Amino acid sequence: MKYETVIGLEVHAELSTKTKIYCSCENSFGGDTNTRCCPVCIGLPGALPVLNRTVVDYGIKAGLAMHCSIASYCKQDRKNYFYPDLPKAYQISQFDLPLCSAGYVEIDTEEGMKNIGITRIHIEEDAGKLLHAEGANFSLVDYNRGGVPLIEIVSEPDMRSPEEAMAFLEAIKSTLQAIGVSDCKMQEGSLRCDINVSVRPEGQEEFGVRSECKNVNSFHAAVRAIKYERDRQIAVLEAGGTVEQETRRWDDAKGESFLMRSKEEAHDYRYFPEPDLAPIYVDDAWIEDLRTSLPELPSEKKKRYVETYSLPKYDAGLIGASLGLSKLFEDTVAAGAAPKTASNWLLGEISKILNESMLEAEAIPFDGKALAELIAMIESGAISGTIAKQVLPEMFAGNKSPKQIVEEKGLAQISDEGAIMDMIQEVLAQNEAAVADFRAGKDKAIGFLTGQVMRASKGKANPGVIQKMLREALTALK
Amino acid sequence: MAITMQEIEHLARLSKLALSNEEKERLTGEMQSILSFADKLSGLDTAADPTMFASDGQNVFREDEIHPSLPTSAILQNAPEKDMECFVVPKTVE
Repeated sequence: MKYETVIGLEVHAELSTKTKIYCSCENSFGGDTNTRCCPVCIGLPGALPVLNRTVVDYGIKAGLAMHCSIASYCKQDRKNYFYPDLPKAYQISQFDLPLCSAGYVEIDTEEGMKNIGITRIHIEEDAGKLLHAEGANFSLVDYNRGGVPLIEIVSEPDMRSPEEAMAFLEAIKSTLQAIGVSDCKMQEGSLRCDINVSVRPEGQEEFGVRSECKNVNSFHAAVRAIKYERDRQIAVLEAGGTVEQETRRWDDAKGESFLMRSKEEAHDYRYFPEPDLAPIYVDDAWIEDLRTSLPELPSEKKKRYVETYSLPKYDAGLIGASLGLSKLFEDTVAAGAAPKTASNWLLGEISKILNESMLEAEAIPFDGKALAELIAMIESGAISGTIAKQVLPEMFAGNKSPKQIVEEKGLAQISDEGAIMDMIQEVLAQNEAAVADFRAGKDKAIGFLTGQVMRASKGKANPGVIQKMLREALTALK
Repeated sequence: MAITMQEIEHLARLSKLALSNEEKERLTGEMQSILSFADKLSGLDTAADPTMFASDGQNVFREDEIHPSLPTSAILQNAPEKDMECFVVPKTVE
């Protein structure tokens, strides 16, 4: 039987406010354990939380960017559960009245654009971090992360494949980064997700029973967890069994999920209104103020790049999704480079260097002028494309302009015909077989010989000049 | 509302408490009397809308400004057990 996969996601994003959600301790990553804590963070009796206004601002901004309605009235609630990373034995979250609801995010699929519904976005506090020492019979708790502001974005079960889930996560990430409410650094856990997966026979209207998978810490892991869960459920159904509604824990190292909580214990959080925090009223003026402060969104950028610069959709999507790349792209084009050439460099060599050194595009140390200068040098014939690929890492290494690097390293293209002729003569002398091939009418041999001369010049000779002179030299030999 | 032994066992599991049979029986009785006391409220005539908050404060906010945290020694001073500048708890891996 053929099955359809139905996926819904809950994404937790840490907000990049200066302070925590309910106290004035610094909100940042890393550092020594338990150094950013106060009585509120560790739940001491009598400590009172006070809501950070910027958290509400950021939550509303996220809601507006995802086309949600913003609640004119909402409140915070206690979600009760016992776990040592939660010193109060409850998490302050929002239950029945979230800050934002009923929005959508656009994703690109093979069948075209698709809207993925956003059920709700609410604000809440993060828990502390448990550290497990190898072999020890105890755990350590660091409450620095306790009280870090989060938004939880809950999607509708609108995704039908791991690829669509990936596109949704990418859209969330680029949107949150663009509006500046979260840095979304996966390696620092600032974006995490829970996955709801069910399967149903193709054509069936009714949803299958879903399972929830927690502890998914990267987009890559999300895709793997969805595929695993899909296959597991199909196997259960094929064997004549029934899928249980359960919470599972994803173990990325093992590539498997494990049953975490049994049904009767799940979702018994006994929510009630948080009596220590006043309700939140948001008026139209507040919303409009934030709406006008929103920058251009990645989806809007993509459209503009296609329309204004005639970039292919694929390029426009990738560049538009990244703040760093889009800024560099626009600056490079403004400095005179052709848009498609700039895009090729950004998505080719530059992205390769970023990936290899695990850097974000925001970390690129040179500006659009420098990249435009490099591109102009290739176009004027001052350097070859091969040499440009050697100049680029140098541009990453320091603050020198491409021109300076080319001069200092002596990388300028050799167009001096005398010097090139010397190299040609040498190559011809060393490659008699190829020369014989050429004379026997095999024109392909010229490509090989050109390559040899390029090598002899360490990539600095102008390939056009080499070819022309090679032909002349070979014809002269005939 | 009647409290059953199963209810107590469920709450104990959620609270990660190991209760003896005597404790379970005692707590069933105690919880029952607490709830009966609270049940008296349902007898009152409350025509007003449900109240979620005791005060009528709204939009009580703090500006996003950093203030110094407590020294780690102060944070850990009441910890029953500590190690490596952390709270020590029984091994917890879900």
